[in-house]
Amino acid sequence: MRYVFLCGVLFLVGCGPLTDTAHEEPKSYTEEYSLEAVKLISPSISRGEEGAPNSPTSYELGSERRLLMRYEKLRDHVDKIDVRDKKVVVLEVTLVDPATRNIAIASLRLCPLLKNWMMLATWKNAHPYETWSTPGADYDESECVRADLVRSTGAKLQFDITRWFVNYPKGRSTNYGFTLIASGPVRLVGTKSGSNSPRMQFDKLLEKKYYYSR
Amino acid sequence: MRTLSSKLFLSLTALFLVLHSLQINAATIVGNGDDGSDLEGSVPVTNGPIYEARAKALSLLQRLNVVGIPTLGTLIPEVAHSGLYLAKKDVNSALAADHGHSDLRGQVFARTFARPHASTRFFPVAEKLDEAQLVALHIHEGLHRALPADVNEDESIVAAIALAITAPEATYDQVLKTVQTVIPKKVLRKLETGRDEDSEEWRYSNVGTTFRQFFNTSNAATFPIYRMQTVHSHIYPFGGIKTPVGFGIEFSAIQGEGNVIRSGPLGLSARMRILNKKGFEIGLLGNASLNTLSNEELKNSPYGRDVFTLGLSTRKNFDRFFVENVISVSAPGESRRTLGEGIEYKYSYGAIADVKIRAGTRLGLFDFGGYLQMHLADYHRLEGGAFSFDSGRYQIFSGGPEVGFRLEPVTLTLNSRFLISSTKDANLDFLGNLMGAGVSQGSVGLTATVAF
Repeated sequence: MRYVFLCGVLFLVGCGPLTDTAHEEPKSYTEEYSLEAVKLISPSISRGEEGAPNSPTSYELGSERRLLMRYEKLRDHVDKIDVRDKKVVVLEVTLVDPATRNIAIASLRLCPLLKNWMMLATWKNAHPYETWSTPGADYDESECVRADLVRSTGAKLQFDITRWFVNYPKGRSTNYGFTLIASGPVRLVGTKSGSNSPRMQFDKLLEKKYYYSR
Repeated sequence: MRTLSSKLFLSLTALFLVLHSLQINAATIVGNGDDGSDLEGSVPVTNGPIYEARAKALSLLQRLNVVGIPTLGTLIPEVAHSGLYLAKKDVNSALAADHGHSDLRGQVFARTFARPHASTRFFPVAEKLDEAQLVALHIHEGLHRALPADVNEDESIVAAIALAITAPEATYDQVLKTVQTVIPKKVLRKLETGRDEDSEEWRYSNVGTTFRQFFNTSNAATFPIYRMQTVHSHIYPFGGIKTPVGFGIEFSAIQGEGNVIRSGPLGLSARMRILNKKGFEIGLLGNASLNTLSNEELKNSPYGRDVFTLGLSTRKNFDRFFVENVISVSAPGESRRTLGEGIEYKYSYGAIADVKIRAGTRLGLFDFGGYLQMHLADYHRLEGGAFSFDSGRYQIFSGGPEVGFRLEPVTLTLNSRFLISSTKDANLDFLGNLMGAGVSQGSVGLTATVAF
């Protein structure tokens, strides 16, 4: 009997893996990318080149000072981003002064943009050849989100943009990014910082690889 | 009865004689209707007042040194070597050319053909002229043969010059001044250059400078350029008189935000006139506007591209008016610009065809004109990161007035370009040709040129 059992085990091992991986849920891992396109717009900034210096150390937001933000290479990842099982896509910004966290949470709203723009955008113009329908950017008011109190820790504020990701980049293949609107003065770390610059985080599916033995 | 017959006979005879005399003096109808004015019959003149007067005329012309006066270079040999003939009978002034050559009764003193080396035919009535009048007559007829073909049949010009030469105490300067006054400048220029009347673009080599002010520059979203200054030199050292071939160089400086002046594109051009006939001029032109790479911002800008253009111009010149058509094609190109955290934006300019119609007129020292121009382009694209813009095919219609003041060799021209209409909300930035059409919504410019 032992020999029959042992033969059966050897037979099963020789035929293939013991477990049936064809039905295994694909795994994912978290990736984080710094946003390349971050543009400050304000009625006081008339030239497109202003508000887009190379690697500013911080951004001063206010009632008429907003950030336009976008991860330019998102389309390279859209098909692999995992939003199953409550996995989220997050946009993260860092406060210069952690003590202003509560004020910033109450003040900041992240709103998806409805018109394409580039780094020469201004308060009036989305790009050199088109103006905003509404000065200060065209955005979807109903889809604005505030900082996630659970995910945000210390000076880092995280905004859950999973809904936006599903509706726009994944659903419509459009990536117009966001505008970060502040009702009061808020100071954020700029793109000069290597680890605290505005960034996007998401879970990415692992690629499956099958091995066959003979 | 006899008396009546006698009276009748006498009356008829008188009537006959009157009619006969009228017929004698009337034009002789010969053959196909010629008036007989060419049936002069003449003999060579070898002595007498007419012959001696020629020597006096030559002496006067040599004393005034007319050989040094433009258009009178051949007057002395024409007077000296023209065959002299005396007609057998007087003729009345029946030819248009006889005006100025006849007395109050209409009898012609002399005739000649308005071409070099023709003979001079004098008529008997000329023998009644005094020496001074014969001298003037020799010179007058000589001018018909010596002056340029454009003016040698104009009696007013010939008479004015003859009068200046034969006036009491005439001087070289007085004769020169009269020639410069009565002979059209284009005739003098043609004599000087050996060329037919050319349009300004082909007539002379020139150097100059241009100032352009661009207006309605969109400083909100583009690389704003507010004004540009260029210095150019166009020289035509090659080719023949009819087909000049030349090259041009143009340096530029641009002024943008903050009144900072930077080096602009470098223009290189080549031009060749391939036809100049019956008032028509046809020319080929090529132009390269090169990004000088002398400044990071201009290189790293929407205008940091090289523009290559080929064109064909056709022009019709009238006495005081011209019309010109220009057709040209510019090659596609692109430039790049990095903004933000390393986002590279690419500006792509499609091929551009443009047609231009110019017209103008001259009133005194001023030129008044204008032009209309249409640019038709394949596309204008802007791409970078997640952003893309494509205008598709578009057209821009522009034009403007031109006013010039010419006091040779200096010319001042006020020109302008206004964007009249466009598709796809295009403006001149779409063309990416700073030295050509310019930028923004148009420009106003002032050009000063010195021809040589």
